[in-house]
Amino acid sequence: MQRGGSKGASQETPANAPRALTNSAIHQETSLEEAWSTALQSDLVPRPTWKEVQNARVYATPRGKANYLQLLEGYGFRGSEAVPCLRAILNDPDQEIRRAALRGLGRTETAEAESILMSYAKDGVAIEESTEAALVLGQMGNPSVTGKLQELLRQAQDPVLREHLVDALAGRPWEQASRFFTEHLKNPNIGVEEKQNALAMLGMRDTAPAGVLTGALGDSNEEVRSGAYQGLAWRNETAASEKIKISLLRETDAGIRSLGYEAWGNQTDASRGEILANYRKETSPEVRLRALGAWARAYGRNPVASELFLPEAVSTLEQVAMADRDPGERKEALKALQATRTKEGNDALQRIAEGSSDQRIRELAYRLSLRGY
Amino acid sequence: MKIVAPLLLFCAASQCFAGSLDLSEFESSGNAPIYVIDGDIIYNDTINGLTVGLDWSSSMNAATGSLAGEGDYTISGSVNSLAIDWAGTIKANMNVKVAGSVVRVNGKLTMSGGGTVAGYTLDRLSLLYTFSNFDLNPNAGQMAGYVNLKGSARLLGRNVPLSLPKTYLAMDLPDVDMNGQWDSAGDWKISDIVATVDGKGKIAGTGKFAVLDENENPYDVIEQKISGTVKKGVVSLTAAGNSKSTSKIKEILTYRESDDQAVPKKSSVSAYGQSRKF
Repeated sequence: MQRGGSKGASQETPANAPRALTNSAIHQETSLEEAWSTALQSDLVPRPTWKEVQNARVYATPRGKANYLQLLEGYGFRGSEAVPCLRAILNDPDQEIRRAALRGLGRTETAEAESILMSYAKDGVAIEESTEAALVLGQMGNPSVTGKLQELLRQAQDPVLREHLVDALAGRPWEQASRFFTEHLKNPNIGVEEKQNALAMLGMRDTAPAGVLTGALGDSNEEVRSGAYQGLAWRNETAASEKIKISLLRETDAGIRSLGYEAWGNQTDASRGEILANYRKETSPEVRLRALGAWARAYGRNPVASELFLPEAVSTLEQVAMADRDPGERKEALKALQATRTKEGNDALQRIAEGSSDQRIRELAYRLSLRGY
Repeated sequence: MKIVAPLLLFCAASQCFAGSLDLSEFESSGNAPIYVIDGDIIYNDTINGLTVGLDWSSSMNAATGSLAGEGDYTISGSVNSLAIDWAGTIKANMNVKVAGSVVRVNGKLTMSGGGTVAGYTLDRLSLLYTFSNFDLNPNAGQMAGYVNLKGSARLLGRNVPLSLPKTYLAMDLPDVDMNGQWDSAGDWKISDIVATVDGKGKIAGTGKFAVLDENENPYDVIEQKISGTVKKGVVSLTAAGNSKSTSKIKEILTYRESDDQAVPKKSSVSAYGQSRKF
């Protein structure tokens, strides 16, 4: 057990401190957990009154309006008492205000709000509001909302609304949505773009098991596979390097190979040696840069003192950052340099911060160099 | 849409002759903005007794609209007399989507690091901010909405789950000035157009697409192939990224040859996860 001092400075554990918890330590632990629990369960969400909401209704600046929108939404935390007023606001001529009221209704977590939102998340309603209602439903706590979102998706034709309904479903607890996504991803009547989006969003939300994403790497359609790569690039704490490496063997498109490397570099079990071997075989500059980025991330997670490839990696990235015609590629190179988390990478960032002819690149290099290594 | 140099189509009456297309560039005129969130995002505020500081560098993928970044965070203060002092690194993954006139940001900030709770050192701290439905508000220079925060810490040898109620977070967009004005107007252009038109009015060539920052510097430069037709005095051009990965970065421009005026609702632009008709 360690007890820290102020501002994060920890004190050394006394040499004679017991390894197992003593009665005193158990007492402290229990007290701490109780305090922790109390702290977390306390009523921290501000619940504005209707008067406070009304007072903010007259605004002179965009930020004043943003404050009014926030209060409208926050008013929903008052629960059922907020429903009538928020429902009335749905007639406001300003669409931004109507959408804030929709969000507020979601915060009430009431059956009445669910019903109102269901009536909005449909074709024929302005797309700004139908998608808002879909996303708000996705954030509501009632487990039955998951089935209702599926029903709305079955009815919806507009591809933008459908995409947002799938986004809403991707945020639902996996135990509620697993059956839906398993069937959705196998359904031949669902377009590849919708499947691509579903996989990416499942990765973003960290809801689905990694196997759902790695399984989709076997799909015959490369757009579906690109969704799986994107999901694996966004997913936290996955170790799917081997499957990504094998999947990359079949990819011919430079964009998809690039995405594959982004996914690979994000894996906790990524081997820099294997990435380096693949990097050597790549010919497209775009793909080589992403492979170097993946290598840099893998190296940055587990740096070793005598990495022979590091000088070449830093030199190549610095050259791209200084000379590539596309500013987007130059930024990728800067991020890869920072990801090495080395003095060599940091020195290169400082040189670019001083020497690049592009102001945005100079600024980004400077900021990244401040992150340290 | 502003046509900087007119098409020179070598047309006589209804008959066109083969030749080169002397069209320098198209510039958007603000009615079809494409927003790019690129730069440093700094957030400092007090939330429920905790002083929260976030600082991360964001860059955006032109083809997908995904937003990635890394940075640092500090959280300190006290909740119900429980002293908290945490710090560590941020990894951001987000994406931008458009529905009509609304631009939304969804994503997460993954935070790892360490610190203390009530004087006890945390062996490990992992936090996850989830942005489920953030509105991008160019007028207010912010992206804002409620976030969920959950995570876990290793404290006194045991894993302690962390969860906080939904919290409102309003983050200034990069390059917002002291008055809350965001300089990025979402302007874009197609430049370096080199194209030919054949005797049947068929257009083929190349160009470069870029969204511009406040200093008219491009965020990215996308090489594009251009195709189209000239029929009955109406020019229809499609410019799209020249690789599969950039093929969804696409502009469709339809305008009358006689006065360079756009045909309403017949043009569109798609890039950075956003699509606009104009």
